[in-house]
Amino acid sequence: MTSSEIIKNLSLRLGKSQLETKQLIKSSTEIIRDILDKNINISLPGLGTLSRHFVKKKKSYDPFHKWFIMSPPKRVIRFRPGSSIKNEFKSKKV
Amino acid sequence: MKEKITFADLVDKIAEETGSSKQLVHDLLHETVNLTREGLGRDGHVNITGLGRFSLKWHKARTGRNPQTGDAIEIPARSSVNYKPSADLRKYINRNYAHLQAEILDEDKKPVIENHIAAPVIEEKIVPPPVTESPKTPSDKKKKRSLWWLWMLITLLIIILAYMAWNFWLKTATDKEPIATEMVTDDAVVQPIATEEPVEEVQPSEAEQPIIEEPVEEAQPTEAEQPLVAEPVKEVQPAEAEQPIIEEPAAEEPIALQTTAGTPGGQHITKRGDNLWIISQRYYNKADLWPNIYRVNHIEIKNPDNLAVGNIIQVPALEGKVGSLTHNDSANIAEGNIRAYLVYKKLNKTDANDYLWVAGRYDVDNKISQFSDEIDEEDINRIKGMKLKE
Repeated sequence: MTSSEIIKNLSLRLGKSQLETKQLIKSSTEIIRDILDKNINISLPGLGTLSRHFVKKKKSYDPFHKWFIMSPPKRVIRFRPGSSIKNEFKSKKV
Repeated sequence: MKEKITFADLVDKIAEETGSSKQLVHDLLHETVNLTREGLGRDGHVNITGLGRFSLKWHKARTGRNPQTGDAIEIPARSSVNYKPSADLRKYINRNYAHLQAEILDEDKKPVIENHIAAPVIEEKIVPPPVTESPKTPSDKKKKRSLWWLWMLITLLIIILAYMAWNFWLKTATDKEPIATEMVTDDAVVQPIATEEPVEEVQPSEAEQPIIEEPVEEAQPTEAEQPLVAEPVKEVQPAEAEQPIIEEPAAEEPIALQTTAGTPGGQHITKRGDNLWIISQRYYNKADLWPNIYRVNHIEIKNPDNLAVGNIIQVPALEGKVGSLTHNDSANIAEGNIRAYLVYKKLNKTDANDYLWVAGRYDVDNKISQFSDEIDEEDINRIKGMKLKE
């Protein structure tokens, strides 16, 4: 499912125009982004939890050039699915 | 313990910042979660702009191990929900680390590179430099310079040889020219006059025309080989009979070829490259006697060193031979040398006195005293103790 399909469906379910729906989604994702940037976990019922993590610099291997590199430190976003969604798609073969 | 924001707090925050109602924001988030679950169930993946991509990943069944007991456990196949944050989100949260780059570890860790990929590439890059650097060596430059001089010498030699060959060809061409065509002997000059005399005498009286025609007809057989020359003889008028002295001998060239080739006592038509020295050598076999030729032609020749092409030069005959000159020959040669002295003196030539000295050697008739009005007394005194230049 693409973003445009989500906006289209949301506008139908919310009774709002697609433009308004798009604006709402955009502002909501920006707020979520800022919350994650502040290293605050976000829990979405029925979906899971989004969290930000810090990864230290580490030695890694570049498989393309086939040499070892020292990766710089970085921040990553991780998602932990909720139990309901895990159970729902547990047996679903893609 | 990390701080955690609940769903209600998130709704409040979004509603506060967007100015929308909490219900709308609640419904928006709730429906977004539902649509995500629907999308995962239907397509297996969902893209949310600005947030990321949720997708399902299938894991095959495998045998695991209980870390506490060490017993093998059969893990069934299952599907899991994966999440990949969007590029904008990753870039935003890593904006403080954007300046950092991955560092390649020390070269001790690089043998893998040289053994696998870089080795052949490096070898290819190393090969060309010796080829490009080789022509820049000093020894090669010296070789090039030496070759340049060699080529210059070869071209100079070729030019010199070509010039010598051209001069030799000119000399041989002038030597091989039939002298009879250029010179006319005294006999040849006399003969046409003798043949024309009856023409001048006969033409006034028309009754004796058959007699006049006879010499003309006698000339025709000899002229038959050269019809172009014969025509002017027929057209010669009595008044102009004495003028074509030059042309008439041409009509009798075959006779001149047989009798007067290379012998003095005639005329010479100058050509390119001619000078009195060469003409004297040709007719007398001695170039030193050129003043004798100049003596006869001194009125026409203003500079003995520079003859105009096409001039007719009289070549006087010698009574004796070159080795045994007669009294008159010596007197003529002395006079010729005196005239050469005079003209060279007039032209401010430095070697004018040499000819005066030579004239003194041949002066049997005291010619120098005859020209005493024109000869400087200082020069006469000077040649008394003078030796001829070789």
